[in-house]
Amino acid sequence: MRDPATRAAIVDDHELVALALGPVIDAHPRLDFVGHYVCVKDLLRSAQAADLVVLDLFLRDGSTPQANVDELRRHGMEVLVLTSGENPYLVREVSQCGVLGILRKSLGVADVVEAIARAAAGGNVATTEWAAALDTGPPATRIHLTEREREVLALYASGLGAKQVATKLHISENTVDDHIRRIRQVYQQLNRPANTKVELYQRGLQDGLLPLPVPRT
Amino acid sequence: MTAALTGPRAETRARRLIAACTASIALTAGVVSWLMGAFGGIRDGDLPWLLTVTAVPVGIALVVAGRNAAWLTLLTATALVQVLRFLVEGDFWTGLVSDLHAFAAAVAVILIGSLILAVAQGLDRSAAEAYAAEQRRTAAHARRMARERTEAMVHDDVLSTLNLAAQDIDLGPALRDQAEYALQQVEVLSRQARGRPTSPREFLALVQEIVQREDAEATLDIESTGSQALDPDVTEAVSGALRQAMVNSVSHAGSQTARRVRVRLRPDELVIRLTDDGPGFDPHQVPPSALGIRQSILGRLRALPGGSAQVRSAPGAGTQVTLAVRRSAAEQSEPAQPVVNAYEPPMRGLAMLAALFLLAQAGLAAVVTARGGELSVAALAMAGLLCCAAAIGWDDNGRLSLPRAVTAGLAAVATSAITLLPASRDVDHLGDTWYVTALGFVLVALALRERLGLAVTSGLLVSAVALTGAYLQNDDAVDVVISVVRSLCVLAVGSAFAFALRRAHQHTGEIQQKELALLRETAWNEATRSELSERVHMLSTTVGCMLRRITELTPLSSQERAEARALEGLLRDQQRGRRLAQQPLIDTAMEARRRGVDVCLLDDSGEAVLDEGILREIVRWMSDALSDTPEGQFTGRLFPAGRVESASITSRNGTTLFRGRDSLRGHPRAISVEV
Repeated sequence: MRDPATRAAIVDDHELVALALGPVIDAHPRLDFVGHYVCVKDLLRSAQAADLVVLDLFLRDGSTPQANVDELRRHGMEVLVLTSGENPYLVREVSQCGVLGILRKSLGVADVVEAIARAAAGGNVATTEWAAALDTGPPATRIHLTEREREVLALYASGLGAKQVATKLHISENTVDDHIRRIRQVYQQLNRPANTKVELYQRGLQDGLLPLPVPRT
Repeated sequence: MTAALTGPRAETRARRLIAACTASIALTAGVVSWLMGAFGGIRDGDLPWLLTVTAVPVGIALVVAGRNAAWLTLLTATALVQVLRFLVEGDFWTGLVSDLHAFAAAVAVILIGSLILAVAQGLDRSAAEAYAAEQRRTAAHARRMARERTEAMVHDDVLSTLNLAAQDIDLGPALRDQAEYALQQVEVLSRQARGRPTSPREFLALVQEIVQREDAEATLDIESTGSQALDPDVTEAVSGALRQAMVNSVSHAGSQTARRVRVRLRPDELVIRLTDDGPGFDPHQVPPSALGIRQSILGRLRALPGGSAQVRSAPGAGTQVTLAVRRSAAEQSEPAQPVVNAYEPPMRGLAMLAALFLLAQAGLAAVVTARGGELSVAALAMAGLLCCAAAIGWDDNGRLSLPRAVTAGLAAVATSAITLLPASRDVDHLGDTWYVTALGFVLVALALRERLGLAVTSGLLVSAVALTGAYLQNDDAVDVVISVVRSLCVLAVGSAFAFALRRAHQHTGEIQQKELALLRETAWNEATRSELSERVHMLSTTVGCMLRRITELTPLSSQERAEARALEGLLRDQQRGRRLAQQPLIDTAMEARRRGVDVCLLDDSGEAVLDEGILREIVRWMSDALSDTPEGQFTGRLFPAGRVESASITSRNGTTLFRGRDSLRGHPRAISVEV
């Protein structure tokens, strides 16, 4: 068991998100809200100790999601990413760097805080967004997964939850959890650092995954 | 004359160039023939020389009517000259030497002229292709940037606002502020869609004007290495903030204070720093409402993507205001230079021409020897010509290396020195110094290998040596003079063509660069504007109303919250659902979200080519399934390429896969997986 409460900080350039989430996090018995910061640098500069950071995927300070995650993890903080869910490219990037999970903001405050608590307790927060991002990844990275892991990932990506995946595959929910954990580790090891936007862009090119025009109808 | 008249109307640059060359050559030829007449060069029984110069009509035909006409003209003219020769009954062998060289000259005109045309057309064609590709690329890049900017500036703010507005939490004025901010962002975009970017020069002039108007004594340091235009909102925000900072400084620190403004404009950032040594103040003691700092300076800059502002001051320590706008890497990256492929001339044709020419010379040497010329003279001349040709080579069309070029030139001059030999002195036929004319052709090849100066110099030296030879021959030097004049004419014509070819290359390159820069700018601006207007229009019509409603501060009704949720989903679908975001699914999704279904549309098909018909079926299929979903979650996903199935639906009824690709059109086979 961890400390009585996990210290959670929010890094988001929308004050509003912190206003909405902060009190609910604080009200949770196993969570302790320790502050809101507009960028990762601010949090690190403040010397505020946090165990878990709820990080906005897209920050306007010019930082890349991946660099932010790497930086936080280097400082011993686990990261849960919050996204408006509109940019598959950035979600893809961040899904591969060892985050605890990727949460869609439209889930609702209660659901988001519930997921934070689950992550804080060491559980998996495998969401559809996260799974879809990994399941869409370039074949070269997908070959590191076993057949079963790929199956689990694909089912998650189609919108199923852990329980439904377990039923479908006739395995226990714990086994599903193990698979998810292993998938996360695989991608974390494959994580290629991209510290600048240019590198990110180049990797997008390599993977054939540049954000491309929305087809006009 | 014909060439001169038709020249200016010719449709390509190259044709005009050849027309001009041919016209001037015709003129020169006229003058030369007149000079020769005065020199007494035409003997009784010979045809006027000008009549035998078939290259001129051939060149005209090439320009006016093309290559086939040129060949036809050459054949006709040659036949005509032969008939006339037969009628005049002059010395057949003398005529042969002359005609052979005239023929070679005409063939060279056709081949080199066609080469120029082909080069120019090839360049024009590849340039047109490169331009079109560049235009598409620039436009696509601009659209992507505009889209990224829209996403960065607006979607995040708008989505966050709608997200929280949709939930039953009381956030008070913070939600209103956020909605107002989101609306402002849409407004900024709309201004960008209408506005014109500012060039760095215009921007620096504006900065200078602002600084001087507020304090004429202020020092201004400018360091500018940026060449990219600035967005209209950047110009507006930065100039506005700078003006405010100057006004503040003058009003608080007084006009006696020394002020210094430093501007640093780089491709990656714009930083303006205003420093004064006035009394300063404690920033923490200033009530936020009392100063223009907060809104006019900090607010303005921070509203820009990549913008930041800082005010540093302490009592007695002066004040420093820093305004900075940093561009993201993608925004600064200049598009790559397009590649305009250089035209490759047909090397085999040129090599064949060279071989034929040398064979003809060998034939001439044989004829001249057979008619009583010295064998040693013919052998030496042939050896000299071969030396020249070998030095120049025909393996390549690029610039000849200097040693090889000099060798060729020296070989030419050495060959002309044969005229100095006693053996060549008992010349009594016209055409015995054929090799002097032949040297002119060889030197043309040198000129074409981008050694124009060397070729002309060698040509003049050859002439000088040959004329010295003629002078040393006591009685009849007409043959040498005719050969020298012909040689010079050939060289002049060839050099003119070589020069034209080079200019065509150079000019085309310069013009292309200019055209390209203009084209790029236009394409960029147009694409950006059209993309932004499209986005702004979409945003205003969909979410403008709701955002304004949120700014009213009265709590949203549950129906309005549902509407906010539906709108948030709509914006999200356009980004994440991409190809799925089409009718009727858009409307069904709106309806479903209004009644509380959490709809998630994911397009993970990347850039895979997807049959439009199948896509429509999938969209209809999802739409039907969604209408039947009363509550809970609904996930529709387009699969990445290369899977057996193309899409899936997951709702509380389980997962259904769409296998449209393998099925007959109109009969999608859905495989239901009960969970």
